[in-house]
Amino acid sequence: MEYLKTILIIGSINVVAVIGLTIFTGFTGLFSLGHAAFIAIGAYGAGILTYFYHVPLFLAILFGSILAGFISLIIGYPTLKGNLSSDSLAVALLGFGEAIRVILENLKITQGARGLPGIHIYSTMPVIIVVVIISILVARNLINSKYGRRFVAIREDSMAAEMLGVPLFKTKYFSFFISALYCGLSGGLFAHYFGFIQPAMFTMEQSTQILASVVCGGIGSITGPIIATYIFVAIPEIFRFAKLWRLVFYGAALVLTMIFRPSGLMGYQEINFSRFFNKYNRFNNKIRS
Amino acid sequence: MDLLEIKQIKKYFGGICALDDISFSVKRNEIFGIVGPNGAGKTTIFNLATGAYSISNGSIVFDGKIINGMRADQIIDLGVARTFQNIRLFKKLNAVDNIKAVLYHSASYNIFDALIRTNKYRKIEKIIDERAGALLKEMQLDKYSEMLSNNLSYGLQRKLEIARALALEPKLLLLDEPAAGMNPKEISEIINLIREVHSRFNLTTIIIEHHMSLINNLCSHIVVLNFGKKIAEGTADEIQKDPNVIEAYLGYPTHLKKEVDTYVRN
Repeated sequence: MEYLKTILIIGSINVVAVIGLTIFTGFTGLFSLGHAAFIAIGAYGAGILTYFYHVPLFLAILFGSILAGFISLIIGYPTLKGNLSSDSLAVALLGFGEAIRVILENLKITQGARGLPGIHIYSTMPVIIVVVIISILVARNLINSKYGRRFVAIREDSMAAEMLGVPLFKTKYFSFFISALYCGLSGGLFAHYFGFIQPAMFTMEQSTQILASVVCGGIGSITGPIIATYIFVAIPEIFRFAKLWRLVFYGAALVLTMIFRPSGLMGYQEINFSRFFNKYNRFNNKIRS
Repeated sequence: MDLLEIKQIKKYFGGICALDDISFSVKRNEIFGIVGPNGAGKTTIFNLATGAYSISNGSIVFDGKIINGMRADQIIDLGVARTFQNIRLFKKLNAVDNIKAVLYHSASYNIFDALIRTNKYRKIEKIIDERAGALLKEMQLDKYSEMLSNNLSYGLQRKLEIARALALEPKLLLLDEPAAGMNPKEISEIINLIREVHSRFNLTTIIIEHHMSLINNLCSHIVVLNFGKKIAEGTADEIQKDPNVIEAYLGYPTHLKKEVDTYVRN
């Protein structure tokens, strides 16, 4: 039971970061290979506050998140203002992600590669559930507003969007900022769940993992990436009996999703309970008649 | 004062001169035509007027304001809307979402209203829904509002693109080859549509087109471009008799000049 709970918690922590990247990649259509940096900034920002200064968890996590958002504004300005194409932006952010990791390894306050051992463990199940639910609701509300519709317009056709009065830079910048806030939040939860953080935890591998969840879960969907995140956390655990081969199953799951559902599990749609029940009712009626 | 004044604009792409010293002006509430062979620089004028490209020389004055140098979104806020030669709808969105995507001028709520869904948010979103629905209805697209725009027929996509431009409530509508790839029946439909839209919304309209039937039917004033130069200007009848225009479209063997001139005169 404890084991299952752990998997669920790790999945939920990832979900927060994935929702952030969903807003940037799934809805604004821009790819990033460096969002692990924002998770790291959030983790260190929050971790340092509770570790050295005994700030309450809520404030610490908030600070980590805002710090990640602030850094995103600094790195976002040159990269997004330059109007890079989606793939060159991904590579530029990859460089940024690695740079942040190296900086964390060399700063005094982060204690270099040694990391911060023995952070208080505050991220309990209820805290994480509350944060995840709020994250999902906020993302949903954002996407279904004029702001979200501008994101989608840029994803669909940035040239047309610009010619219809969507300010490209401002909108992309905002989307990037929000995604960094989410990743920072996820980092804060991460630090206070494991109780130990070091720079080597936030490599490109983590960036690619959350990007894989977003793409396999489905571009233009919030629920899809959430499901995909839990699946990708669960698969290596389910196949634990297969020892090293379990990572092959993980890879195979990625490949198969992309082959059979090129636009992801839930590409461009959400889980819609009313539609599901309609189908169920129709099915029932058919059986009766 | 004319709504749009194009004053001696030049546009270079590298060493190539795409537009060379073009001037014309568009009066309020008129349907204005731009014609010319492929590569004459017609679409470039639209791209300059909507801020997609920066201008090399000269100025564009819209509604009394110089707009060259402004960002695209600022120009569009002033009241310029356009459609595209190759349809550029938001393909993965349905028709009504295509309209809603650009209906943010009337949406005055801020980010916090949106995130916690205040009453203000709900009220304004409801108005947006109604306006999008009304606009689709006016364009007789309400049947297709839930259909993915990518799955609509070509003619309907053109219509939807015009509807989306109208959602910006422009003063000036730029239509880039609205009848491209259409059959004669669809062309006569689009002629009626443009005329209707023009009269109902009191819109100044500029049309780029190759189909002379459409231009002749709609445009009170026409400019002809060739290789980035203005070669003629006037009403449809004047244009068709202009030797420069005939030369641009058909070629003009100099040793037949006399014969062609007599033909044109008759």
